[in-house]
Amino acid sequence: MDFSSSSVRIAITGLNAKPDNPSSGLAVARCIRESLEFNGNIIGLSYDVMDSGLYLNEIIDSAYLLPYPSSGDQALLERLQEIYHKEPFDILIPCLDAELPNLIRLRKHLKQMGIALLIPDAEQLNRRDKNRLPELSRQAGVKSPEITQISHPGFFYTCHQKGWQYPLVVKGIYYDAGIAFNADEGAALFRKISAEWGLPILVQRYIGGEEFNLTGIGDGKGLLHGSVMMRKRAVTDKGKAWAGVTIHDEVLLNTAKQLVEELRWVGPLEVEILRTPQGIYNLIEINPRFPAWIYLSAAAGCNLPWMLVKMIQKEVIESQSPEIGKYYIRYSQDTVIDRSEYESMTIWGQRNEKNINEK
Amino acid sequence: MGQLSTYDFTFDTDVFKRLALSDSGFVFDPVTGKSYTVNDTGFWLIKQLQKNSNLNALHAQIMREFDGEVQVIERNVVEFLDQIRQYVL
Repeated sequence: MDFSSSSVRIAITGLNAKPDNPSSGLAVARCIRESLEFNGNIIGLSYDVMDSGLYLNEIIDSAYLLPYPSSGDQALLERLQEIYHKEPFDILIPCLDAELPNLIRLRKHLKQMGIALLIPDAEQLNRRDKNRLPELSRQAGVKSPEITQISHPGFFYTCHQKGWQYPLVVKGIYYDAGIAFNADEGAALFRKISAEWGLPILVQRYIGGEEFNLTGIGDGKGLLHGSVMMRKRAVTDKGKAWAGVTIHDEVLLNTAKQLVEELRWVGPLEVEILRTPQGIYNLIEINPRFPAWIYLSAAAGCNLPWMLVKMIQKEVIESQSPEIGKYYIRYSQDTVIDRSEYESMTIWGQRNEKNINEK
Repeated sequence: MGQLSTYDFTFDTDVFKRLALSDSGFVFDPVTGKSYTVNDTGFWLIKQLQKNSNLNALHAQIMREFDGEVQVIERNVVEFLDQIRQYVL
């Protein structure tokens, strides 16, 4: 690659900024924008005209709509080629789980176009699927609650016969989760989550405790770089972090290192761990991307999205330790746009030239 | 020593050492991310526990530092240690 980190053009997906459950794209962009070394362009890519990140000129230089992942590889490739033709970019940072299968299949095409990205391969991605976590945990030597895959709500009325006691955690294959305290609640969660995210539904044994999260970058050789750990201090109705604080927990760090080593993970990830009152660490989830709270990494002095850019460019990365005890509290703010901007995004799938030129 | 001598002091004493104490009474645990507020007496007690978690030494320090009925002081200290066990450890 013949571009320098300062002038690099970076495309970032996942610009939905819904206050109760935002994607991480905008936070990733904000981290990169705030790096003193960065003097390039940020191209925002998202799926819905109502994704507010598309219109935030102070963070995103230009913005385009993409076809939803369910449209398939070809539709995505053609759209990326179209965008690239208008505005070439060097790096793509995907920030949504559901995008990765398409991008993994398209990575050779993207490489030929000159677009670099650091993402896992299909096997690595699949091994951290929620329904395969117990298997991965065994292989990595960490603990994880038992999980089963179901496709009918009748499970909740007979599960006690198979040794499943309430409460139970009910999860979508990609997103969403809830706790069921009885069969009726389980069936209701099944219907709600499957209506939005499809089947199968996953049922996990409930483990009480406190959740701790770690985000970092796997180098594909088994090493974890630049880890930042966070404990949620307040959550939304969906259980998403609303406030948090950076921490340092050696056991959490070692658990994440074991998982990254076992997977030979490539790219950003978030490890979610539940620590029981007895001090046992249980793996709950591995997300194959930066989390929505990633701006905390930059604020704490360990700018992971910028580190990712440097890793992609094969530049030397400096070891950075985040400041411990750095708090964040999420807030929402209205962004206001002209009708013409909304019109341009709706009709042409991009910000209008006038707005881009005015930046 | 009264109540303190029979107190079940099975603490992970490293926990005390890692706590970040501010003169304002704000206490931060860098491992769990939890924070607490303590009054001057609680602040003093945690400071002592950071230096020396030996109960006999703590008892002697308390007797030197505070005026009052021994039994009342010890009962308060035991209650405070119970709170630490419940919230911090």
